[in-house]
Amino acid sequence: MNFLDRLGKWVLNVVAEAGDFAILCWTALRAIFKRPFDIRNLFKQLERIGVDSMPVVLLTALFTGMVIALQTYSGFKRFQAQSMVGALVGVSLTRELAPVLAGLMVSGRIASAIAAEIGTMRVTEQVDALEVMGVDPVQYLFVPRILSGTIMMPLLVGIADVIGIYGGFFLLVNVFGENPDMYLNKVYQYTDIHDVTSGLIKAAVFGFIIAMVGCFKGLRTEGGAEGVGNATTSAVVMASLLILISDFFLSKLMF
Amino acid sequence: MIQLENIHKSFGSKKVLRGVNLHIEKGESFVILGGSGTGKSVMLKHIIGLMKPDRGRVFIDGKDVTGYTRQQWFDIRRRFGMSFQEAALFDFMNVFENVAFPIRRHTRNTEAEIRKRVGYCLDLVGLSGNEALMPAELSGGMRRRAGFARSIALNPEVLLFDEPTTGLDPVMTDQIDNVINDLRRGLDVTCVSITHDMVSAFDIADRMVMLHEGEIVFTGTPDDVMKSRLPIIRSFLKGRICEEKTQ
Repeated sequence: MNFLDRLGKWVLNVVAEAGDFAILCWTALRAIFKRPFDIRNLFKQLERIGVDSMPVVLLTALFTGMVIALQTYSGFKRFQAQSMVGALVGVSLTRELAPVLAGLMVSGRIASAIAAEIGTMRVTEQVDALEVMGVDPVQYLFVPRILSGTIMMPLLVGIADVIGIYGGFFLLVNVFGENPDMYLNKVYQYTDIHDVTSGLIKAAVFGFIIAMVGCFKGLRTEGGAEGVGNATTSAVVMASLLILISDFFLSKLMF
Repeated sequence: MIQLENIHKSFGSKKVLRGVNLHIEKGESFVILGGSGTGKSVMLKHIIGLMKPDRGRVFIDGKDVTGYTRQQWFDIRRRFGMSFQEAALFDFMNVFENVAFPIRRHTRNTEAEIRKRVGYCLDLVGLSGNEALMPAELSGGMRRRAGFARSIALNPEVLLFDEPTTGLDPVMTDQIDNVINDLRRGLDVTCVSITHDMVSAFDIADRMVMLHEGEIVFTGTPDDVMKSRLPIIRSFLKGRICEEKTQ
């Protein structure tokens, strides 16, 4: 009975949180189209979420491209198929690895930062101050971050695709001495435009998830420093899980 | 102007407000007194719609606003200015931007007009010349005063002060009380303050209520307080809160 009681409470909590998250997503989406538009804040967030995340995303893409090339080269060489490495690197990066790995890296960096920032504002009554001044916190705090996440993630992933592919190129040509034209030809031949666009769509969805989860967890912060710490950790966990779950459904939908 | 009618509020099994009734007249300085955890802040949050009562009604200018939506409350709140316990200044903005924030959000004033208004508000609270400082660079008293300046930026009709002197030394407490009185006289506004500081309450109140265990146990002027024989009031005057049912 005790176990069932706890299980029931856990399920109720999860369902209630999912419901709150869905309602807040809907409220935030509607707030995007409400005046006033805070362009200055939007540009600040574009820089913070997009530009400042570039080094970590590009490094991830570079080494991911190189490691796929390394692993597949040694495997494919066994049956003389090393010419196909470019095809595999191109398709796997654009479809799957660049958006998912960039999403996970950005969620570690941005979802936590947003949750900590809004959580601190929550516990120091700055969010209440916004409400009292007649400013909707969802519109003021959520909208610039959600728009920035949704806009900047596809751009980051687009650049990550190129860097990752050239990471593989660098390894094959400079370390294994393979023909550079052959690698790039296979990339162009086998990587469809649909592979690229589907990856960019995924990236936009992941960007929305990262920013939204950070805002959601921040706004629900309770208590002091400990509450902010918990919000930060749970934001990264929730964003990462939602990225992986939504990745499956998006892949199923698009391929 | 503001009326609370039979307000009940609980958090889980803890009953914080148990049938609170009060009426605040336009233009008066009204103080809600009480020890820590008696429900003062909760009461203030009901006045400004940050919390909804479990039971009871809130009236502003005779209108029942209890069931108002968030958007309707946003409109009402433009008539209020609230100063928070720790000022709640936006820590990513300097003093000038903090005070200018509500003006930028709710008016189409030019930059020159905003500068003039912010300068006036900071002058009223004695913070001229500190526009460029960040909240982290301000002392406790300066932060409160910057919070006051922000709360009056839009010419509110009602000013709410949440524990304006808590944690300040006696000299700074006196300065803050003077600023509150100056603001009230200078701007002709209704003031509602919550505090557990009896000295401060006597300095700023026209009328006060004592909240104890979620109920109002006393209403009157500062003179009435001095004459009161209620044990809780006597204990508070002596500087200590009466323990529950000492008899």
